[in-house]
Amino acid sequence: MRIRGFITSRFAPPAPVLRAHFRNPHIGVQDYITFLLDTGASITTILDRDAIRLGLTLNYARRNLKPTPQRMVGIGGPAETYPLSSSELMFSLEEGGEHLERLNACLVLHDPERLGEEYNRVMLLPSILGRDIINKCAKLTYSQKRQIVLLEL
Amino acid sequence: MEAVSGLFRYGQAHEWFERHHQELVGAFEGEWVAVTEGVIVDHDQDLNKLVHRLREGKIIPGPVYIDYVSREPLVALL
Repeated sequence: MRIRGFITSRFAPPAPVLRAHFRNPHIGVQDYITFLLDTGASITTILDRDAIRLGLTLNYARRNLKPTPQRMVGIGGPAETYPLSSSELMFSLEEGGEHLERLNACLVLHDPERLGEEYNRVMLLPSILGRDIINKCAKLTYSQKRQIVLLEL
Repeated sequence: MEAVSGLFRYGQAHEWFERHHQELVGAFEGEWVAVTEGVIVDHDQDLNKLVHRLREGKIIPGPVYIDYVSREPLVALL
């Protein structure tokens, strides 16, 4: 089974991305997300721009979700993190059909009041497909020269 | 399955955005643009406002690609 991504020149240098349908039945959200493929990331992470699309605002998260115990600091400054347990990612397969992965994703939200102008830059960061999914693949092919991003299951 | 066909259409919208990016820069630089089926359905400098309108119009959740239009590519240190 093969999942094909592609290389986008919207990043410098160009970067591998994959599209998927994200769903979390427990909190009743679903939508389509383009993920940056990041072998350096442990966990698949939904970031601010896609969280807004899913309706997972900071106010919603503070009222309805249980934060992770640790306060996280990363690129983009301090952020609030919430586990999105029992999430689902659905990928289209190159040979037809679809492939479903269940995962415990992470929601990372920045506070615009804390970040000020910097928040607009943080909003540009894509959600990340991490090793929790990548490691399930038998083979990952990435070649910018040949314009190939391919996950084989 | 609706999600599968939606994912295909979302992909088409994404590819359209990539192909037409230079034209989009000319018209919408500094804005978030929502695209589906080769049509710009809405745009705004504020992503929250754009998503709110798309949600009110029942356009999302759905196979709409939304991205920020910028002449400069994003250098992301992750």
